[in-house]
Formats: sequence, C-alpha cells, structure tokens
Amino acid sequence: MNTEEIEFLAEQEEVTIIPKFTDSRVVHLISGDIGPFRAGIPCVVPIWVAKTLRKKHKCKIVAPEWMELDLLEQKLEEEKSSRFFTPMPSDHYMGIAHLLLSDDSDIEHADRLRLTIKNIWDVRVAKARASADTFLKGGGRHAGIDHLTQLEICNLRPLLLDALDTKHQLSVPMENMSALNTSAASGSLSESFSSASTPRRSQ
Amino acid sequence: MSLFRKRNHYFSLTDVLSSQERVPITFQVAVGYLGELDASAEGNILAAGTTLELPYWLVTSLYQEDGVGIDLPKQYKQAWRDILAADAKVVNLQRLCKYFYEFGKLVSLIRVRDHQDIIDLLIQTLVDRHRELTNWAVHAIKQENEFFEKLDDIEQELSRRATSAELNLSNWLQSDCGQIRKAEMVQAHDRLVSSSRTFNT
Repeated sequence: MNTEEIEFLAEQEEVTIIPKFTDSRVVHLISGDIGPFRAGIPCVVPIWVAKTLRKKHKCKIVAPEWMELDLLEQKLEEEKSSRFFTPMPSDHYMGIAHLLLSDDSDIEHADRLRLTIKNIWDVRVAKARASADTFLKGGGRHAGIDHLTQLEICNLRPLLLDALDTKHQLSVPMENMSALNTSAASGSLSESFSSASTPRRSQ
Repeated sequence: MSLFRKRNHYFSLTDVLSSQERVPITFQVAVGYLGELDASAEGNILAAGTTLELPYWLVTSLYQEDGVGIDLPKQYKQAWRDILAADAKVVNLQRLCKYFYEFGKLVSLIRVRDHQDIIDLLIQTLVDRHRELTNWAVHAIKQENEFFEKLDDIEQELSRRATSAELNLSNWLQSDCGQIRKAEMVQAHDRLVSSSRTFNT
C-alpha cells in the first residue's frame, strides 16, 4: 500500500460540515446515505464529500473533535514521555490533517495544528525506527507494537521488513537454498548440496 | 516478494554475479586435463600443490573431489571477522566484496565446518550496519554519496527501497493530492485483454 491509497482510505472517515445550501434529496450509496442538507444545520459526511462541496464553496468544514491545539500538544508531550506508542485520536490522523488543513482551510490555527501534528508524527516515526533497530539487534522472534497507524506502518515497512527478511534468509537452513543458480546447475551439484548438511565424505 | 528471494533465483543476474566471486582452492594431487585453469602451468597437467582462485560456481563442482582443499575467501577469515566485529559500520563492503552477504551464504554451503561462523558473521554485520543504513536512507536526498558507495549490493537495494518510500511520503506531504494509479496486475490484464481483442478481429 502506498501513501495515496492510505489517503483514499482516510477520505472515508467522517467529518461534520455546515452546508450553505438546502437540498432535501438523500444520496443513497453503498457505504451509507448522504444528506439531506439544510443550510446552516451541521451534517456528517465522508471527507471526500466535504472536500468536493468545499471546493464549490457550498459548505464549511468543522474541525473533528480531536483536532484541537491543546489536546494535540498534550498528546505530543505524552508521546514524548512514553516509551511506547500512545493511542492516536484517529487512525488516519496524518491523512485527515493533510486533507483538511490546507492553506485556505476553514479551521482556525491551521498552520499551528499542522505543525503540532507533524511533530507528533516525527516523534512516532523516530520511535518506530529506534525500536525496529533494537528489535533487530535483540534478535527476538516477535515484537508487539500497538497503536501504530497505517501510514506509519507503510513508512516503516521497507526498512524493517526487508532487513528482517534478509536476516532470516541468511539464517535459513541450506535445503531451502536449492533454487540458487549454482545448485541447480546440474544434478550432481544439487546432490552435493543436499549431502553438504551431512559430514563430508573425504577428510 | 521478498528481496532476498527475488535476487537469488536461477535466472537472476545478481545471483550469477555473486557466484562469480573467487574462492581459493588448493590441489594436493596432480590433476590431468585441468592445466588450462592455471596460466602458469606447463602442459595439460595441474601440478600438485597448486593454489588457485577460482570462481565459486567452478569450485562447487570440484570441492568434493579427493585431494582438493578449499580455503575461506579472505573477507570471511578471522582477520576480517575481527575487523567487522570491532566496527562493521566503517568497513567499505563494496570494495571488500560486492556481494558480501550472498557470496557469504554460498561459501557457507561448501565450508561445512565454518557454516555457522560465517552465517553468524553475516547476520551480525547486517544488524550492526542497519542503524546507519536506516539513518542514511531516510535523510538522503541524492543517492550518490560517500556512504552509499560503502554499501554491499543488497544493502544498496535496501536503502534504495527505503529512500523511495521516504520520497513518496514527502512528495505526498508537499503536493496536494496524488493520483491513484491502477495496480500493475490490472494494467497487465488490461493490456492482455486489449491485445487478444485485436488478435481476434
């Protein structure tokens, strides 16, 4: 999964908007109904609808409850002081922040919110990298990580998984390496490899 | 698909290249018809006691014969093991052996006595260098860099992957929204369908 796809998933999250128009028709979709809209009355819609309406100047987006400066700064402190990952207010906090906090956003203090969220992200990613390294060095077989969001996993994946995989492949028994060029070159060679695990006949 | 598997299958170039690295081999008895292997040999016979450095793929077909001894390549010997154990981060693996890990794995297959030692060395080296590699890969803007030149081939691939993920993220953060593209498989399928359609008409 890449960033764009995770952004797409983040767009399914719901947000409150205040419409500037009235339309009593309801849009029926598989994921749920949207509408009816009445001017000035708050209404919950998926973010992609909110963004589309916003672009046409037909609504005002209300910040989600967790998108509040004090709360986020508190989260940042919590994240800094904790050795583990703390639960985030939203599974797509980074994606939603990216979607809602553009330059011409309706939300107040958009730039400071964006900065705080980016700080939280940086702390978490640094922590993830450090713990990945500790895990690799410690040589444990499993590790439990809670409260990582999808975007963070996506960011961590290539580094950690590839390294772990390479490490694993280096240590797997020889039989599993039979796909190698050299062993597949001829029958006698693959035979010599399968016998390599038993003591050599000469010497 | 896993990186290591992708790089090490029958048709993979990296695998061909890594089995091209040389292993020292000593012939304790004279061998007929192999004189061509040694440029300094006279006639067609390889004299007893000759030491040669032959490519791995050739060594695999010789090492089980009587009177043939193989030695460890220098990068897996005690001297280099000590250096790598002291500080693996500063070693220029690219210069030492371009396919350090893959070749090491191969060598461990024909040196049964040293098998575990070599594997331990490879894993320890990888783990020791990983932190540095991560830091570098995440903060790298351009790939041509002093540190990158010091990496073994598989490490370069690892860091390239990590850097591209990081770039992807920072692009996403800067630009407003990206375009979701069709998955490779769907694209291939579309091509297949359209080509078969033209074929039928």
